[in-house]
Amino acid sequence: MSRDAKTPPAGYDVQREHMLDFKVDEQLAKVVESDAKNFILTTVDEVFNWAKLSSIWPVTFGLACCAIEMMATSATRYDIDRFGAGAFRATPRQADLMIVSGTVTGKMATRLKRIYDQMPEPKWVIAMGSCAIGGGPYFKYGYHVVKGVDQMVPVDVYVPGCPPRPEVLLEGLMRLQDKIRGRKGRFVTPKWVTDYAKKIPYRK
Amino acid sequence: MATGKIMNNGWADQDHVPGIKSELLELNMGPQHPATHGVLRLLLKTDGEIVYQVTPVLGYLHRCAEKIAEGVNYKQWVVYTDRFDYLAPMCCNHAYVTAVEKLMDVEVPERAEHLRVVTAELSRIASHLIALATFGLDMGAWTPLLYCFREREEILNLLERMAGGRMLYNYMIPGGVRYDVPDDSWVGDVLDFITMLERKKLKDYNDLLSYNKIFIERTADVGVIDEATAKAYACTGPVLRGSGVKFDCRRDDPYSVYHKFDFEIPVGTGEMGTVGDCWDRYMVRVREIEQSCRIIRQALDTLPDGSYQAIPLNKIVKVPAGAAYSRTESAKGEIGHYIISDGGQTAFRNKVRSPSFCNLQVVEKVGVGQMVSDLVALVGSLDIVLGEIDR
Amino acid sequence: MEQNAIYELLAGHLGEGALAWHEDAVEPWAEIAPERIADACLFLRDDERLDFNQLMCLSGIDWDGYDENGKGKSVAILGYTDEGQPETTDRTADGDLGVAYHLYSHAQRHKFTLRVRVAREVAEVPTVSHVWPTAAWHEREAWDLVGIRFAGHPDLRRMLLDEAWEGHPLRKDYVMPAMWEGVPMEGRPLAKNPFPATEPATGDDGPGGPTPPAEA
Repeated sequence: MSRDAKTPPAGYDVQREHMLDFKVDEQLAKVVESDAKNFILTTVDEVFNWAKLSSIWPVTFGLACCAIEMMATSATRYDIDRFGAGAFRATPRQADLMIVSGTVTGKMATRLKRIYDQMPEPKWVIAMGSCAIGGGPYFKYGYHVVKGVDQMVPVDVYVPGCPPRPEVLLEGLMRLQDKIRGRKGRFVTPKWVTDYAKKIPYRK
Repeated sequence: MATGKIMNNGWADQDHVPGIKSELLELNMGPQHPATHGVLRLLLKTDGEIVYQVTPVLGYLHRCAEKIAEGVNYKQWVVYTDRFDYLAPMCCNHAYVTAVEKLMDVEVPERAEHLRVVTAELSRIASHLIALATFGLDMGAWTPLLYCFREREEILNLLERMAGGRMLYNYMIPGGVRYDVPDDSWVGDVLDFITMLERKKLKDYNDLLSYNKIFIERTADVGVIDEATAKAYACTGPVLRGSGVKFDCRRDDPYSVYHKFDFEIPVGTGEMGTVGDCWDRYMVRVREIEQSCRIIRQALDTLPDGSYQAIPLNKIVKVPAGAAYSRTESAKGEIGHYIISDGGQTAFRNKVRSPSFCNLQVVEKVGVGQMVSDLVALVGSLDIVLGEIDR
Repeated sequence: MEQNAIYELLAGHLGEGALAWHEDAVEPWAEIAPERIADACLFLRDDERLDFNQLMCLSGIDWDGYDENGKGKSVAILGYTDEGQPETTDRTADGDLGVAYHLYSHAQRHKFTLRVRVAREVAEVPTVSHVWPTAAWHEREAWDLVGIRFAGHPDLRRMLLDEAWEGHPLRKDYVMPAMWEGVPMEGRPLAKNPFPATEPATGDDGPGGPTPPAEA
């Protein structure tokens, strides 16, 4: 890794430059095949980011209904472990990610802030569900509900739904991975979604 | 471990060993703790490993639902009942619409009642599966969770086809249900599922967890709630039945169409230890799953034809002035709604008597004198849901 | 046992303390003088003909602004505006406070409902937590949310809200807080939809997508 990217490494065969087309992921690394062995040209930052995004450890922080969907995401069918985020830690000091899954109340908000402060850097927050995003159904008369957890801690990814399906949480996790990777997320609604939404008959 | 008496042998109050001062240790368990099933906070005073005093501190999930009931109309509030006991939302829906219908004096179509019973019992099974899973998790068994969630996903799929939501449904409305059976294969799929559950899956759970030696060691004779305590603290549901009281609202105070169905009420028998210990409460839930399957089968076999809404979906419900308390059997116990109406579209006051709230109170008494690890077993076996405790 | 018979037994015991009997209601209920409620509850529990061993529910009620005519014209409660600011009112509340008790007997299989009503300035009812232990938490909740003191309660702290919370939320004149202990309780104005329902972006919709739609 300490090799200068500009100078060709030992064993590099110019004749087989076409092998450069064999790119696994141009943002992440360049795979160059030589006669001797494979090696990767990349930057330290990218390796670190790749390591971070591949093992995001969330803190066990279930608040309300969404916590059950978070459990379902980590359980049999959806298995969040496939994306390296399955090691739920009971203590914030071992965790990278806080999934705020549920309604944040006034009494809980100070505790949430403390748990967030206990997490070591770098740390990320996913606001899961409409309550955590903006109060949700408790906006109008919720005297004890914080209208949006981003008033307490910075939020990286918002996952809408009440509660969000496990697939949506997984999607949110992948957008967080994109963010860690330093890549622009896919935030354009696909055409088939907008087309489909037009066909839904809404009740007056 | 003997329960119910303070095991203070003087360590706390005096210098037991000359020159060494000892005192009670104050310990916070929660609100962020993996074994408290949510955001429950238990304020413990411990004498070494023995719990000297336990004080539950609630309100970390107080979502103002009773205030909201005074601001939104009757149909809109069904949404919030879903979010009480989010493990068995259909049961909470059922409790609320039963209370509203008692005040409105409306005749609910037979088909709607059958569909309500089927969905509520499916929800109850899903809730009990989570109860088994998380109780196993508290006792250090991770694997049963994977099995229980596997079956729960099947139930969620069935209910999603029925009601449109995956976890929270907003399915029942005053005067009926929102949707009819979705397609021709739904009834058959439910029957297939419960047959599979009865014949095969329950045996899996029993092999994995119920009769596991380690599990029995951790739960039998632990956290014994005797009959008198259970009744005095108004425990209901599996907690009361685990203490050997044969009481179930579905049979003893029938609502909906439960009087038509034949089912048994499992009670704790002290099979592995004392009547009313954690294992009994756990086992009552496993056996209730069987009985729920029986109810579902009968309800679907006799599913009548006809309408499923007495009040059209787009009509705003107005409830005549008056007050009524109605109770139903949720997965956690007796859930009651005390609705005071002023004759308008909005309830004047809606008090919810949630089963977990009353069941949890018993911890203050029974938890004293236990080991801290046994307190985890006790709280786990009560199967509380903070959404309905704090409302 | 029939509801009327229960009330007759109770009225025979209480005498003047039993104020009224509403047997035509959906659920018949008895109005009891507040100072006699603990006495009434002890009688209902200990008399072997009644044997009410379970308190199903205890509810605190704020009767302020209740429409007695049953037309649904009760005073509306206050909430937050769409901008997230607390609503306020000039009206002063003057209605009574009340408590409702729902009892059940496991042995006799009958239910009964009691109600008491106290003036807003008094707001104090004797406790029944020595009759049924389960009443302790219900009464703490009623104190917390409705603001009814229960005289003789062993541990009358707030149940759900923090001890430093101001006001009792289920009162009809409760103004919702904008800020509490440094935690913002007010909402923010609803954001504009960043993806307005215009024509979807045309072109290649593969992973990564084309140029994002312009913000509104």
